[in-house]
Amino acid sequence: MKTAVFAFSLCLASQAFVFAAEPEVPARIAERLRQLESKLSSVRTLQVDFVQEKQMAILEQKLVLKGRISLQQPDKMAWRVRSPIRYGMVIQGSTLRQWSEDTRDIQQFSLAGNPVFAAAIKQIQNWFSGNYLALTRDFHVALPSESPLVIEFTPRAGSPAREVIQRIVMRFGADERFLRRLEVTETGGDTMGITFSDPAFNPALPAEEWDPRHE
Amino acid sequence: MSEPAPTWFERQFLVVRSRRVAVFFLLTLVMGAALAGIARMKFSSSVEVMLPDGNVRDAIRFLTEASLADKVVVSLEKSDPSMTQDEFVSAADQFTARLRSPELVPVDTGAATAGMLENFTRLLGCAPQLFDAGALAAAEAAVAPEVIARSVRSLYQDLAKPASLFTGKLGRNDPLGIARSVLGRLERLSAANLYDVTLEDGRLFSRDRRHLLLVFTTPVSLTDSAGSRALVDRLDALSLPAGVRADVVCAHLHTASNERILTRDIGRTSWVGAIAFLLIFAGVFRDWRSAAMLGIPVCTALLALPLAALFHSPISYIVIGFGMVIVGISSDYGIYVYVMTRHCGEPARAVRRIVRPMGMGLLTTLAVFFAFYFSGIEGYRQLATFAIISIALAYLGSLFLLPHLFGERHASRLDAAPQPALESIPVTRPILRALTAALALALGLALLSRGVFNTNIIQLDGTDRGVLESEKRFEKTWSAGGGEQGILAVTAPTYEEALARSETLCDTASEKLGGRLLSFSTLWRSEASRSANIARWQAFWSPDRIASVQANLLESGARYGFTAAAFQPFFDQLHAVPGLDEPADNALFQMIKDRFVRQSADGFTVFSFFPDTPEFTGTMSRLAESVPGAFCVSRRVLTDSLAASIGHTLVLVTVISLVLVLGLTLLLSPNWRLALIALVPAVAAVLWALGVPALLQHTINLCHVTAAAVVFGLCVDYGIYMTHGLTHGLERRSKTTIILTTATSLIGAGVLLLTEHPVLFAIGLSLTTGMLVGHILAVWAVPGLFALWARTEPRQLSARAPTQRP
Repeated sequence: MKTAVFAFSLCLASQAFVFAAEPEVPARIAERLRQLESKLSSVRTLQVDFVQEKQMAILEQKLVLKGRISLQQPDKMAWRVRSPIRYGMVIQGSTLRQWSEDTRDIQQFSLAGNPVFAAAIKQIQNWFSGNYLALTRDFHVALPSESPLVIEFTPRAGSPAREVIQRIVMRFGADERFLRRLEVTETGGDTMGITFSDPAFNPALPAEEWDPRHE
Repeated sequence: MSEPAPTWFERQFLVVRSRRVAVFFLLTLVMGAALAGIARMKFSSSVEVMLPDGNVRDAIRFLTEASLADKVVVSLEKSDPSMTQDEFVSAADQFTARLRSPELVPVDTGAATAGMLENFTRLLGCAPQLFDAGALAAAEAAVAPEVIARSVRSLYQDLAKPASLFTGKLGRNDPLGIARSVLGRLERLSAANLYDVTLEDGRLFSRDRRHLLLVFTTPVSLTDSAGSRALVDRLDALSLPAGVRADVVCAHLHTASNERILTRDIGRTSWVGAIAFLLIFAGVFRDWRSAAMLGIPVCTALLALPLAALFHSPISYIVIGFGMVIVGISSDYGIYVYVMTRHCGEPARAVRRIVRPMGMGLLTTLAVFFAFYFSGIEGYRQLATFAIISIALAYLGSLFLLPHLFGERHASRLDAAPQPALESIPVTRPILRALTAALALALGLALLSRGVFNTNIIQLDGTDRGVLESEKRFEKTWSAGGGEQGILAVTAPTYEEALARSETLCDTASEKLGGRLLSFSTLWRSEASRSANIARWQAFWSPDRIASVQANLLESGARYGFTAAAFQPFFDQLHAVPGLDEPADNALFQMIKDRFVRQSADGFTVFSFFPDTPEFTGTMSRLAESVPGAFCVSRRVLTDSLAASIGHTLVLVTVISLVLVLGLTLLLSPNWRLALIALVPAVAAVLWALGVPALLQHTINLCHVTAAAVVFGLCVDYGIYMTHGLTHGLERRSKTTIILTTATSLIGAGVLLLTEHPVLFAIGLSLTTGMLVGHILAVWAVPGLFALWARTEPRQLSARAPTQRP
């Protein structure tokens, strides 16, 4: 009975989802992405500072955010903004916790039941964690430059990203061990660029790193 | 001395004898027709027939037919730790491709993550339709100048969040969060804590990403036994990718598994029972004609099946499994007739002597089964019809047909034993015998006191343990662990009516229980409600208020560098004329609707979910009773209902006991002491029938209680026969008859101990134990009790006895 009721609700819920077909990716690009992923796979943890510049139609001036990103394979990510405001977001598995200096409390919710937000977060995780082959499901991929490596992603028709993203450009450092700059052009013309600096590869990340209040 | 005038029975008996060739020919034709009827009958392996009538059974059936019937869900697990996520996904895709067939179609209803954000933004346009009194109060608070200032700062802070790239548009469309707070209900519905699924790239993963869920639809009906078997065989035969294991959940597995086990059990009990019957008859009577004693009940059971199917269809395999028990019980009449006719040269006269006492035994047995009609359980009603027809026909067949098969006078091994004079049979060691009875009662009571009643329906499900374990793993993997959920279903012929009924019920429930009810009605209302909401929205957003909010937004926005046009999409929406139509083209809305609304042949059903706690379930069940087409499904309701059924059956047993005690005391026992003595084996048998499962660490379920009722009916007969024999100096013959009839009944029940299906095994265990104890006490303890408390002169008692027993 319990299983029947559970399976029933699950069956109702699962009606909504589609199993997407695997897209075709040119062999040369797929191979290059695999090489890149292979290099990045040796990085189990990563900490890197960032400067994010947002040029948006709704703002009179460019918005510049500074902060730090921490990653731990396979499913932990922390995003901290230090200026002009203080904000922290930590993703562990399918749970997201966030904190801001205004609210002063931690909000927590599950990505499992929020497909819209989960899709957005997943995209961002893929950008930073080096799951570039996974991105090919939603994006066409081009390699404008092999050295230094530059990858250009344009959303495929029907992908969630196509609603908001026109193009993503990823620029890598010479050793290709980390992403040096990420540029996003939105469908409405807004642009966003993130420059990464001072990377630390495989540092020991303390437990408080996954506390959104941590500085 | 002249012969007494022939009775009505004798006259009919002689009529049958004079035309016995024609009668047997006719009966052969009838049996042929019965067999042909059985071949065309429909049988059911579902345990649904064991559920109490009413909402619960209807609800389970509805759920099964509405959704589970056409779904096969596969949970794939990455069992090889070295397997990468991409390899796992690839293996799952290959597995899906191999399973894909006309019988198994991967679920693809068209709504994907693509367009989710756009759809969510578009749903903001439905805010006027959802603008109820609660939303109005929230909106009034949100337009205060200081609140607007806070909202704008919050929007600015949101720009620091990584997901703002995707969600920033929402803020521009709804800077005060008024529409989003309304649509928060949608988020709550989609984020309901019923299951733990993460959607990634269009695939459903578990939280730990080690499991992937595949959902298929199938056109194979649950009632299609052959189709279900073929589907299950296909699933079994498919090899899994290396490093991956699978748990399959579908109702067809239950259908096929239950049917396989039940048919195997029925075949096994039939063969073993038939051989055991033949051996005992051959061993005791050493007369080939004694096979007729088995033939009559077998034929009547076969005849009863299609007759029962006229009233109940499909007949449950569980009832068929009870067949050998019925054969065992109804073969008693043949034994009585055989034993009596061997002593008398004239069968009509011999049988006449037992018509009435055998009829009394028949009535007490039928009374037990008749009581099953009041059990409120379809399976018991089927069993009652099958048993009553079968046993009654066996009674008639034993009286009118069997003697003609035996001939005028037949001898048997039993005749070799000289019958002692009535007064010469002493009752040895009466105190020891009485103590045995007391010990049996005390032990039975002690055993029963250790028993634990269990109303879990799973106990009655004969599905392979492997299937059930697979389901447990499935549930453990995918359940969110937020406690069990109950389901409220509201059905109506039209969608609008279903919405209206559901919102009436859910509004009342929310008033009583707060906001933990998860209902489609909290998001989408009937047309009448939506019209009222739109009117409320338009009244709220007066031109003056719009102008005031615009001024405040511009002022606050300027502080954070927002441009004057930043919130223009919001004001454009306020000026638009709201529509009343459902956003049918919105995939996100449809995704939620598909989850909470189902269309079926009966119309539309709106589902709501609630925590399965006593407070919620009790309230929801009571509320559902007041709304047409509404019912609740929950583990608690089912458990309570089954508990009530067990209680009901126990009451039934008690009532039957009283009726039997009073009736039989008046009819057959010369005094109340004899009646009490006659009841001792029955009472002890019931205690042991329920106590032995407890001794074996089994919990006591509805099947044990039902079997105990049958045990009582049969063992009362043993006690009555024995006390009657004692009062008439016929205890030796009574003892022989009881031994034989108990042996046949024990065979019928005992073969059920060879079964695998829990329902049949539980019934077999209680029947066998109870009858064995009842039998032993009847032949051993009753004479002792009789000697101590009730012995009187046989002749005096004979004068008061209404009939003679065999």
